[in-house]
Amino acid sequence: MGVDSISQITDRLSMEFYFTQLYTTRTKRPSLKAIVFLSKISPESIEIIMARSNKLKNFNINVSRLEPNLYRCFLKRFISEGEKSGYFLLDTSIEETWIIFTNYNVYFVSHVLESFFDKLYPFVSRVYFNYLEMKTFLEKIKETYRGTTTYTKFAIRRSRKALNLPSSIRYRKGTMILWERDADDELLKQSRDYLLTVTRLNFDIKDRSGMLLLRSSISRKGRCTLNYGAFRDFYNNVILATIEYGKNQKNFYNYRKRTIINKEIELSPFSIIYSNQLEIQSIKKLSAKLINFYSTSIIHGGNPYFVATLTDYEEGSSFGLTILGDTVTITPISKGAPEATWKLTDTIQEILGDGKIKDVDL
Amino acid sequence: MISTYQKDCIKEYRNYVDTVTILSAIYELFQRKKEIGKYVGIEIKLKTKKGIEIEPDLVALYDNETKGLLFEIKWSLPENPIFLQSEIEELAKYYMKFNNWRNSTGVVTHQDLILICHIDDVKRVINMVNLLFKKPELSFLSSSHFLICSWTITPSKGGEREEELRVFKVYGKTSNQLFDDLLDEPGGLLIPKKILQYLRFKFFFIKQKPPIQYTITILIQHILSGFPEDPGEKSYEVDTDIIYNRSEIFFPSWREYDRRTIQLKRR
Repeated sequence: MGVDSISQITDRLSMEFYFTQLYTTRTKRPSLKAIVFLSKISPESIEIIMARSNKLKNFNINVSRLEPNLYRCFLKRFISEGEKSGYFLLDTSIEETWIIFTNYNVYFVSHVLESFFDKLYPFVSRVYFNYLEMKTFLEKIKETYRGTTTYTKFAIRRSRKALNLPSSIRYRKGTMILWERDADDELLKQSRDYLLTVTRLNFDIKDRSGMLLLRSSISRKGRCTLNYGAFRDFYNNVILATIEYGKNQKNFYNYRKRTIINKEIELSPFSIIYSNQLEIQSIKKLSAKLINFYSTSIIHGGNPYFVATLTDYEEGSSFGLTILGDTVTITPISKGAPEATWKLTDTIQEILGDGKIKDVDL
Repeated sequence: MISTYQKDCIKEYRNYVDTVTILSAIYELFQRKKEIGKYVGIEIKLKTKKGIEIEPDLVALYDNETKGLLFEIKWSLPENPIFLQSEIEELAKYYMKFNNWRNSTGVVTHQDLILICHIDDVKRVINMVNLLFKKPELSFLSSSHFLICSWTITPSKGGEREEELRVFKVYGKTSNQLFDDLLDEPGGLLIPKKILQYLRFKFFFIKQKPPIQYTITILIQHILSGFPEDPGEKSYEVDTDIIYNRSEIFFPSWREYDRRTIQLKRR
């Protein structure tokens, strides 16, 4: 079966059989991509949302239910060069979770599939990882595969901290690969000059004889990839772990809106803490970029104290945002939906680099 | 390029927001240092026997609840000397005898007034006070129960020190020695970092009327944004009562209003 074989999958059993057969043979083929989204709506509502959304007018989708909680979808996007289309499977068997499976190429996944689901926000939202969270996730995978050997590497995106850097120093931006054993020290060293954001974690799991059991990866935005290995192992150990992580994190961001308890105003802020003081140039970069995604009212522009109120105009939640020293503090104000709070936290880290997320000790 | 009008608009907005932060700072001070006094409330009404009401920004009691502390926080005061004089003269109302203090007797032996104003207004205010204090009806201006304070956010120092918020004395004193001593510290009273980081989002208004651009922003960012976007509905009607109810949480005195007050405010 080729890439379009997804169109021939008829139920969960044939899905598992097809993917296992495909990814346990050593031939060159596109990887299997599984993307985890969080959603409370039914896939049948997609067409209703599309009908009222201008953002989705270049997309066309056909959803067929194969069995309860498993759908086969055909998605088409009209772009200037013509149209791009492909099949994917949508698994909704886990409550409030959508898992998308496809083995189409990366272009289709990034520019059609993910773009489509991102435009379904806030009805459908992402799962996000930063560097420390990916490390915790990795520990979980290692625990599952105790007795075997894991080879892991992180892909880290570097961007300049400041625009006016001394010309005597040669700065390189772009992606760098770090092996797990060196990652912490190297990141600390690099963080003096760069804003660092993890983009992907790749890992190979081998048995004691050195035979490859699983070759997989997970991206910052919850895209899991299977290059080699049994589908059931991938599902149980990577996808389910991603979902469990996603639900735990969603709980962290839940119930944070400004509220009144016993006649007193209660806030529930949290912080992103960095290893160094945030510099004026980085803060200026943040404020310039945030206005593209949020309705932003900047009170202090970052000298380097930064204060703004932001509204996620797609979802409706609003936030107070401050930067003082090495700490970014986010204070949900109205609505404070967990998906919006999590998305804002990721947006900030994509711009300022990954930090350590921590509840504020009130 | 920003026009002068836009600059003024931004400045007013910032002054108002920062002044609201001062309310959070004073509130937090009474929560943290209970020895200064007992916090009573924000925008609570004090009444005289004749039924005259005042509504300071913050009210506290001290010395075993026998004395009162009233805070009046101003984000902006008039440039015009006639209007400024009128504002200062109005402060006399805070020295009336009130009989609904929230202590066992309902009365206090005396009350102190603390006027907190923006640093841009301080010089004009002090000049005006110096012109007026000899008037017998304004004798409170030269008493030991009237204090003017201001505040500043000091800039950071090349990564050695973060920006700080400080409240300092500019005129007068109160009979609350502990409170005065805190303000007398070198550089003024250092406000904890958490005020600048997140407690500044506790309150959104002081009693003084905000600039219109501020009200519009609050409405757009925090109130109207919360209305649901239901799939299948392109538009729906929103009752003004719903907007009013959703706005209440942003007013510190929301819980004080009875139905009649709410009706009046809506008009």
